[in-house]
Amino acid sequence: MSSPSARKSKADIWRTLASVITVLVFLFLLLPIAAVLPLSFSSGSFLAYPMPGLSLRWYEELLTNYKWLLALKNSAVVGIGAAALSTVLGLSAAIAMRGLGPRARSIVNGFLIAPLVMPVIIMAVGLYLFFSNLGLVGTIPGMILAHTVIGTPYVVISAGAALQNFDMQLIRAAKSLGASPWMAYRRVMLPAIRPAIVAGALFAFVASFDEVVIVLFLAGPGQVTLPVRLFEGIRDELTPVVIAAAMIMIMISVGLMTVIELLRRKSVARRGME
Amino acid sequence: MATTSISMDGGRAGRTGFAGFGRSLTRHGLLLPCLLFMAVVFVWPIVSLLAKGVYSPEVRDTLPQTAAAVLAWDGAGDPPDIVYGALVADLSVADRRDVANVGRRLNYEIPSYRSLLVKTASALRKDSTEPPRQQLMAIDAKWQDRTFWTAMRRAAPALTPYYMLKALDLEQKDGGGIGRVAPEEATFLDVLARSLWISAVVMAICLVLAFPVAFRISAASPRWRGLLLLLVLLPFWTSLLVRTSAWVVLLQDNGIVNSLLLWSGIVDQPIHLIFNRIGVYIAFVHVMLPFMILPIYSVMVGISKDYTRAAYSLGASGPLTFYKVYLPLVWPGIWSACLLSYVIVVGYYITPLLIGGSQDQMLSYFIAFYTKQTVNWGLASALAILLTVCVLVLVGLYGLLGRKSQIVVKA
Amino acid sequence: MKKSNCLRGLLAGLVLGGCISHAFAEDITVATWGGTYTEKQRKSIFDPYTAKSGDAVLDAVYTGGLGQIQAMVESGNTTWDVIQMGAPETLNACAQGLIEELDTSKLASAADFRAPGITKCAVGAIGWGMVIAYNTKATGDQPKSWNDFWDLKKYPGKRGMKREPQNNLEAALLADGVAATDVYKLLATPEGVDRAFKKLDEIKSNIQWWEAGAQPPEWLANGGVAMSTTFVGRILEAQAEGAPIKFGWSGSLYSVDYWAIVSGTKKKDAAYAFLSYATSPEAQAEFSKIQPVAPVNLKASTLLSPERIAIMPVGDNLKQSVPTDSGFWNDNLEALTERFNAWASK
Repeated sequence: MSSPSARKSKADIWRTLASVITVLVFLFLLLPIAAVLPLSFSSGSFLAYPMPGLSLRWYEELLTNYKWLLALKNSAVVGIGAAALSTVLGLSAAIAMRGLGPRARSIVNGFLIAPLVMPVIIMAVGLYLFFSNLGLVGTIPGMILAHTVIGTPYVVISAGAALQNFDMQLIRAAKSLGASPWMAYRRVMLPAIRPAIVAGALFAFVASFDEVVIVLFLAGPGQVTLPVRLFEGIRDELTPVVIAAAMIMIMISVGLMTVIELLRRKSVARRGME
Repeated sequence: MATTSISMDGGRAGRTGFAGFGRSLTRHGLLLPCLLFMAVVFVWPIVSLLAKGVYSPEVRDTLPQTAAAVLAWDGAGDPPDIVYGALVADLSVADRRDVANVGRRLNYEIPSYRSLLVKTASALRKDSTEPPRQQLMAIDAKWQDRTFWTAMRRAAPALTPYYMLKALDLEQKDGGGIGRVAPEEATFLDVLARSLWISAVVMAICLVLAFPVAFRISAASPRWRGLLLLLVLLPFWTSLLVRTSAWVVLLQDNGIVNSLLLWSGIVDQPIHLIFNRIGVYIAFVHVMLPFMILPIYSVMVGISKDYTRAAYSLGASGPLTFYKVYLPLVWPGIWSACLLSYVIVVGYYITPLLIGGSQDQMLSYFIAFYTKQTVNWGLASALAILLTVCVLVLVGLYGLLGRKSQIVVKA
Repeated sequence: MKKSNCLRGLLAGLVLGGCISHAFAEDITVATWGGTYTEKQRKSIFDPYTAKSGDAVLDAVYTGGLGQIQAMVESGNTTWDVIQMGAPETLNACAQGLIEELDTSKLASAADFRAPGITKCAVGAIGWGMVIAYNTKATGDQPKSWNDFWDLKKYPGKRGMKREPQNNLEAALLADGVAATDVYKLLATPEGVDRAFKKLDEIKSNIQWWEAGAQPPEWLANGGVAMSTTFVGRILEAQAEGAPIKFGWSGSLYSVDYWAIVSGTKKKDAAYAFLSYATSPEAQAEFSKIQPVAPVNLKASTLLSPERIAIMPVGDNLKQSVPTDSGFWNDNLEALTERFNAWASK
C-alpha cells in the first residue's frame, strides 16, 4: 500500500517532528538557567528584570562573606575526602569483583550500587540517628563517610566498565616476565584504566558536591556546604547573591564535566588503539 | 552513569582468562573493606532506622513493672490496684529524661499524657504511706480515667504496630480492633498515592519528550552527536540546587515567565506557577529529562541501521518496522530510564519542598518533618518503610519485567 | 608515580586539616532563627559580647521543634551550647531535660525578670507578635482584623500563613467571632478544633504557606500574596526599601521567645556568661533598636526611644494583641500538628 516514496515522506514528517521536539526540549533545558544567571550581575537586591544596573557587588559579597567561604571550603574538603575514600574502596571492589563468578558478581554489584536507587532522605535520616550515637553528627569526618556511600557506586561502575575492557592476558604476560602480582597490577592494569578511575573519582566528587539532603541532616553550623548554603539562601534571603553562588557552582561543574569528557575520549582512543 | 550500569547489569559474563589469577587475594582482601564499609555506613543505619518503625520499647524499658501489670490486666473495667502500685514504683526510680520519653510516646495516644506523667513523676513522694491509687488520684484526677490506662496498655509492648498503622491511616481502637482513623486525621495514604502519582506523571512526560530527543541525537552525525550530548550533559551536571533556585526565580508571580506572559498578552494577570503542582511538574521534568534521555540514547546509538533496513527491504511499513523492530530493541533503555526516573522522583525531597505547596509534599517531606520537627522517629521510620517498600517493589518489578523484555529482544 | 604520591599527601592533609580545625574550635555555639534575624543578633549581641569577653560566638540555624536538640542530647554529643526557642518548646524541653535548669545565681540579670519572663529552664529573650501585614496596592482599604483577613470578597488575593497550627488556629477562632479570652478554652475541646479548621477551610485555597520569615515580606512586596501573617521585623525592612506594605497590631498574637542552655554542653560557664550578657538591659535594648521586638528585661525599655517603642509589642500595641498560651501548645502541639498536616496536605 505504501510506496517507498510515501513511506519516505512519512518518515520525514516524523523526523522533522523529532527535530522540533528536540529543539524545544533543549530550549527548556538550557534557557531557564541562562535566563537567571545575568541577575547575578544586578546592582539591585531583587531577583527580577529589568535590572537597575550592573555591578559585581554580589560576587564581592560572596567572596567576602565568611559563611559562603566556609561553605566553599567545606564542600571542597568533604568532596575531596569522599572522592578519595570512594576511589580506594570502589576500585579495590571493582578489581576483586572480576574474580567472582557471574552470579556472585551480579549480587555484589547490585549491593554496591544500591545507594543510587535508595531514596536519599532515608539514608539521611538513618545516618543522622546512627551518627548521633557515635558523635559524628556535625563533624566533617561524618559527612565524608556519608558521602563516600553515595560516591562509591560511581567508582565501582566506572572502574568496573574499564576493567571489562581490560585484557587480562596483559597481566599474565607481565607475570610470566617475572612481575609480582602487585607489580603487575600497578604497572600494567592501573595505567590502562587510569582515565576511568579518575572519572569515577570525579563523579564521586560531584555526587558529594551536589548533595543537599544528607548535609541538611548531618551538618552543624561549621559544616554547611555550598548547596546547603544555597538552600538557606533561597529560603532566607533570595537576593542575587544566590545566583552568584549558582554561577560559581556551574563553573565548577562545567569544569569537571569537561575533564571527564576529555578522559572519556582518551580512554575511548586508548581502547581503539588496542 | 548509574543508568548505563543498570542496563548493563547481568550483561557480559566474566572473561575466562581471569579465573586463575590471584583469586583468593582479590576476592577477599580487596572486596572486604568495601563490603564492610557499605554494611556499616549504608545498610546498618537504614535497617536500624526502619526497625524504629515497629520497635518502640520506651514504656517497657522505663516502666517495666507497669508494662507487665497493665498487660496482665484484661483491659476491661477499672485496672487492678497492682497496676497503680507498679506505676508508682516505676516512676519513683525512673530517670527524668526517660520519663519524658515515655511521655512522648504516650502523648501520641492521648494528648496531655506527657504533662500528666511528668507532673506525676515529680509530685510523687517516696515516704508517702497512702495506697498508690489514692496517691495518684491526689496528684491528678485523670488517673481515674480508664482511657489513660488502656492507652498505657497499647503502648506497653516493645513491638508496636502503632506507627505502621498510623502510616497507613489506621489505628487500634479502644476495644482492640483495627480501624480507619477519623477522616480529618487521615494523611499518609493520600501522601503515598500522591508520591506515586507525581512520579508517574513526571515519568510519562519525560518519556514522551526524551524519546524523540534521544532518537534525534542518535541519528545525528557523530560531530553533532557530541555537541548535542554536551547540551544534555550541561544541565545534568548543573547542581540540582542551582536548577531549583532558577525555577524559584523564574516562576514567581513577578518572575520572568509571568513577565513574558503578561508582556505578550497571553494572560492579563500573573498566573500562579509556584507553590503548586504545576511548578512541581515543571521543575521535576527539568531535573529528570537528562536521566531519561541518556539511557535511551545509549541504547539507541548501539542499534545498527541494518535492522530497520532489513525490515524495510522485507516490505514492512514504517509503523510496523517501528513497533516490531525498533521499539523492542530500544525497550531495555526505556525500561531502565523509566525505573530510574520513577525511583528518583518518588523519594525526592528538595524540589517539592522549595517549589511545591502543602498539597504537593511527598513522603520524603513527612519523613524529614517527623524526624526533625516533632521528633516522632517512630512515625518517620514507618513512613520510611513505606517508601522503601515502594522502591523495592519497583526495582523488583524492573528485574522481573526487564529480564523478560530482554529475552523478547533476544528472541 | 611521584606525582600521584604528592596528590595522595595533599588529600590526606586536607581531610586531616578539616578534622583538626574542627576539634580545636573553642567557640560558643548559639542556635537561633537564622537569616537577617541572626545577622542583627550578631551585630547587637554576639559581636559586642565577643569584644567584651574574647569568646567567639558561632551561630547555628534552629528551625523549631525539638528534633535536632533531642538527637544531640540523647547521643551526648552536644554541638549547641545556647539556644533561642519558642515558649512551648522550652516547657517541653525542660520537662524532658533537654535544656538545663537555670541557676539564677550564675545569671547576672536574673533579678530584672519576672515570671513568665523567666521560668525554670529559660529566660526571656524577646517578645514578638504575629501580625497581619498587607500589600497596600492589593488591598487599598486598610484591613484591620482577622475578619478582614478572612474576607476574600473585600480583599481578594492570596493569604500568606506559616505552615504550622500555632497562631493559625487562634486566628481562625478570632475571625469566627470567638472572644480572645475564650480561644484556648475552646481549642482544648474537639468541637473548638473542628470549628477552627472549618473556618480555615473558608480561605484554604487562597493560602500560600510560608516557612521562613523572609518569605512573607518578599511575597507581599512582589504581590504574590495580598495579606500575610508575619513577624514585624522584616516588614519594617521591606518598608524601608519602599515596598507598599503595612501592618497593624490589632488581633496580633503575642509570644515570648526564650534563651536556654542545652543540656550536656561542655561550656556551661561560657554559656552562663553569654546569657548574662544577652539578657542584660543594654544588650536587649540594643537588639530592640534594630529589630522591632520587645525586650523582656524589665529595665531595657527605659533605654529605648518612644518612636522605637511605638513599633514594638509593648504598651498600647500589646493591649491590642492576644497572648498565646504556651502550656496549651506544650500539651497539644503533636496532636494538632498531625491534624494540621492532614488538613493542609489535602
